[in-house]
Amino acid sequence: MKEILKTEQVTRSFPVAGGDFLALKGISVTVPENTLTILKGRSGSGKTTLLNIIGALDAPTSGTVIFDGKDISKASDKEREVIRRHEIGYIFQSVALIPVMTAYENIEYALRLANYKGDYRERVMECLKLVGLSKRATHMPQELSGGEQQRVAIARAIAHKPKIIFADEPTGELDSATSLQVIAIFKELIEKEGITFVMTTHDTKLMGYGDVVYEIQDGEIINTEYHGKGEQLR
Amino acid sequence: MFRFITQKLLNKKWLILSIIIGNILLVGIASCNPMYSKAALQKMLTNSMGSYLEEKNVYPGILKVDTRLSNTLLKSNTSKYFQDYLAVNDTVENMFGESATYKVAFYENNSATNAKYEVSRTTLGDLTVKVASLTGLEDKAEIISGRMYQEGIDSDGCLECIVNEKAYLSKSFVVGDKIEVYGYNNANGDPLRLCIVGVFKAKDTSDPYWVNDPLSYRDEMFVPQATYVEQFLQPGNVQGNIRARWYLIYKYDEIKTENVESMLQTYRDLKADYESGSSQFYATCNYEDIFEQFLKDSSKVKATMWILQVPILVLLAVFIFMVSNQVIGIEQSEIAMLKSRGVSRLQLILTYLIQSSIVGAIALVIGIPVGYLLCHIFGSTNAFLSFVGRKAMPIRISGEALLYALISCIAGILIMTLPVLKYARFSIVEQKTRKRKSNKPMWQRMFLDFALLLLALYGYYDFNNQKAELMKAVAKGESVNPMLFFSASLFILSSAIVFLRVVPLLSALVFRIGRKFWKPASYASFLQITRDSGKQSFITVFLVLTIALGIFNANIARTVNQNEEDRIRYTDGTDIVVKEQWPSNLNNVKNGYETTLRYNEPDYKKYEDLTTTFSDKVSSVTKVLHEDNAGIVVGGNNVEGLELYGINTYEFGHTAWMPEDIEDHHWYEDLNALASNPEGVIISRNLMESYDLKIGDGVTIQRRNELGEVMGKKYMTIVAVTDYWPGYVNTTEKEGEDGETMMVPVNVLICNYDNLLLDFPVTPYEIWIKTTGNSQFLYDWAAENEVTFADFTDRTADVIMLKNDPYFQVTNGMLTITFIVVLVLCAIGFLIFWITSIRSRELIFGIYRAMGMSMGELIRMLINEHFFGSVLPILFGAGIGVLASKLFIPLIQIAYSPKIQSIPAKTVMQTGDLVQIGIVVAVMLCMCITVISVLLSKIKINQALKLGED
Repeated sequence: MKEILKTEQVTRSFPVAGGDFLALKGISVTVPENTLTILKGRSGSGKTTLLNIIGALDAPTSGTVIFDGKDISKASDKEREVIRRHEIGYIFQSVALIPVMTAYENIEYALRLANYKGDYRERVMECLKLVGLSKRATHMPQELSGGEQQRVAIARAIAHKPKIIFADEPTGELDSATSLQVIAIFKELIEKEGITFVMTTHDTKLMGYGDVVYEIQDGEIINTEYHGKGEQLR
Repeated sequence: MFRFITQKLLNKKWLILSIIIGNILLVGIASCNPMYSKAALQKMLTNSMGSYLEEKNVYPGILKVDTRLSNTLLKSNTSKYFQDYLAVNDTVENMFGESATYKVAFYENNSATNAKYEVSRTTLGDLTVKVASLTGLEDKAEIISGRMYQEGIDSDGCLECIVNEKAYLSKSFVVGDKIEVYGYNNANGDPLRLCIVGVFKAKDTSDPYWVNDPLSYRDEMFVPQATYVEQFLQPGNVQGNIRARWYLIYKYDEIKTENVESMLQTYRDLKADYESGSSQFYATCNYEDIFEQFLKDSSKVKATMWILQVPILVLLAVFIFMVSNQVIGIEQSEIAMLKSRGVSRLQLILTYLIQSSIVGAIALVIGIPVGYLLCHIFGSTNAFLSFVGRKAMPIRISGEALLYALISCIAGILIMTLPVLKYARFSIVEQKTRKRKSNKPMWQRMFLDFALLLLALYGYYDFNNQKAELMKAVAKGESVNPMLFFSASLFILSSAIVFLRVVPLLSALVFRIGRKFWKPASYASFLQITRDSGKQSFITVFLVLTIALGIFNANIARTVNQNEEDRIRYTDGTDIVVKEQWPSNLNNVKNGYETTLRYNEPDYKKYEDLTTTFSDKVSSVTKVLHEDNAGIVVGGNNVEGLELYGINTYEFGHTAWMPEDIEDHHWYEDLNALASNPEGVIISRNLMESYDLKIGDGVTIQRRNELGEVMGKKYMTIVAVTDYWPGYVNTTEKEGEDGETMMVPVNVLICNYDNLLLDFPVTPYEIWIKTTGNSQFLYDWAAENEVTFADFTDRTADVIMLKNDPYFQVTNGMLTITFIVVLVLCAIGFLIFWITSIRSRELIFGIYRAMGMSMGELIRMLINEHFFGSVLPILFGAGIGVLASKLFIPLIQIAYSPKIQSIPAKTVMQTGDLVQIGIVVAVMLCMCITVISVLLSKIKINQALKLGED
């Protein structure tokens, strides 16, 4: 199984009063292509810090991050912007839709930003269909429910056909039924679009859906689980 | 609770600081009104009384009651006359006495009576005397010989008296002389005998006590007042006619403005009382006209100050409301949370009321000194946005000022608390659901904005139609109609609100036109502006308002000043006009010793030399024959009383000034026409129209000399016609037979000076001097060269006088302050809006950044928003300001016009003011973009996104 992302001995420290706080203490993880990888841990464990680093939002203090065969750990802000724009998609816990744009426009905007080559309308409708919201295209974010908003955010994240999508606690504000729906969509997209998902969560009920599950505690990987497709990596 | 509130205040220090600034300005501006107007009016009152003294050489602070007392009249106890007599001392004491510096009664026998010296010196015959007494003479007179009189009849049966030095000399008295007055007895029935015990002179002749020149008492023998009353003024025992005068003397520079009205009223009541029935008393006062004029002027100054102040007070109120709204808006989830936890609405409001009161108290403490400072600024404003060092006015922080400060402070507190009423209604749930709704505001749905605009335009239309009445009202001394200002303000305000509709439409239009081409950044910002305009509406209105008002006010000030200065310059003709005292045989001619009036022309070359000796100060000089008693003969009619100019065309053109655009052609063309025809004459249009003359016609001009004698006649040809000429005013005010003042036209003739000399003798002419600024050098030069002027017109001095006029000072000061405050508010409001707008959108920026938008694009997006949210309103505001000026200023300036309009007024706009606003705005924009960039670069994407997690 091909790996799309790999880290080696990644550390990240933040300056705090009286010295540096080491949030990540040498993490090495591998994300196989076309899977759902879960970073599990309590809040403060360092999982979001790790997600920010592998998601090219932040740079590690030391160690390497290999994304799609390239080392991005030393990349400049500019280079990381380009990677984010074209190859990465994000989903956030809080509903992070642009409030002045309709569902349709939110998705289309991702295409604009990525300078997507192809028919915008067709792709937007395709994405909306994938998340089951074709009928909600012209609604403004505040007119949608929390689950619907998160689905639009997913559609937006996948619209420009990124290689990988990072989701930070995507089900954090949703009830369990809606959470399962979101995971189901992730799974479906992995199959249909060939995308790779990396998500953080502390919801133990969702662990079984991850192909690979890394458990993080105090900035270290303390346990790795494999399910389904991931079994072959074991 | 208090700790909680102070903590809250400190957390939002910048916003709170802005609110405090707003409140300080509110208190300062409100309180400076009574402080300034009081000081300015006091100065105005003192000045006008001072100039009365200077011009008429009569002390202004005097009220006089005059009567003749005689036995026949004082006998009939029931007559009004007797009542008045009994009352007069009482009246003097009580009705007027309190603030009067001196209360003087002056009695003397009505006509001089013969008397004889008891000690016979052969050279002396009989003499004439008046027995007199003056209250308080003992203190005001200095004895130069002998001693002061004593009361009562002395052992020798004489009344002691003193005389002034002039009487002493003219009547050849010796101290100790005794005289017997014929036909008069003392109270004991014995013949009246006086003993001269001393000679006096005034201690201080400039003391207002000396209503009459002390040396004018040539016949008066002054006896002590008590003695006089005892001897001569007992009812039933009054000898002959006694002239009695009661003077109330107020030191004019000590009269307080607040007493003016009551002093005037008391005088009028007294006068009315004396005039009714058969009173023989007469009351007159010197200050009546001054006070009347003062009351008229002061209400005008006060009204003007208020009218000019109201827009800025409203603007400050709006500003305070806006920023408070912003603060409370930030705290709204906090409010909603407190509400959900059972805090009552009243408690919430109370919390904010206390918070506002703290701010208000700070503003009150700082605001009053600020108001005091503002008064000094007013006092030193010379023109719009220009200041001079003037003698400071006696500005005092009065009780009235404190009251105004307190009222404005309370108003500020209420305005600050107002927004919380709105938010305190909602609990957390309601607040969240409310957030989702965004309807068009009520006033937009009801088209209130258009209604207001129409109302304002109607106001304009209405006033424009009543222009003539406005002029009449102003001529009567009324101040500008407040409704006119209100219409102008309403026009600006309603335009600003209408503009709110335009912004989203405009941006939507631009957005649609280029939908396909917009970069993602512009795309997002267009959507932001088009769909989220509600949040911006307040700042948009505020920006339009401030800029428009700033420009409008600047233009009012410029117009009023420029027109008035132009008028002065035009009516003066040039910078300095002097006329020397020409030696002549006038007295000989008058007395019949000579028949022909001749003048000796003073040396003119010394004036020509001024251009070389003062080459940096004098740019040109010319002689101008300028008379107002010329005449012409047309069609057999003799027309008299014409103004006549005899000029040297070339020099006159270089020296005199008049507006170039006042006629359809440049006035130099008329000069050229005159230059090319030595026998030519330029006449005024009113003359042409009255006698049906036309260019090319011939007229015979006749001149008279100082004594009114005809000097000769001369035939001339009309070469041009004009309405205006430097120094010439085509109408004048004359009192008609019915006592009404009416406007009569003045005709003018302008001809070549050299040509006049061919047929007329040399008569006194004026010297017109064009300077490059100050005129002081000429006074010095004249003193040095012993040149004395019969007339001296100094434009600079005339302009300074105008600038010192409280009416103009208030206008300039108020408008300047408004303009500066507008700029300050605009800058603060602008920064606050953008900073809070960015703070509240940090999350969105994080999302954009996460989606791969670069920092540059983000800033470009904000600049685009800036354009529609700030630059467009500013440009629109400028446009509205200019439009409002074009519409309303021609009407407003009427209030500042003199009765006789020498030249038509025009609306003046100085690009300099626009540039000034432009620079401030540009600096603001740059500052803003810098602040925004710094803020943005500080936003860590991951942190921004984390924000969303709470």
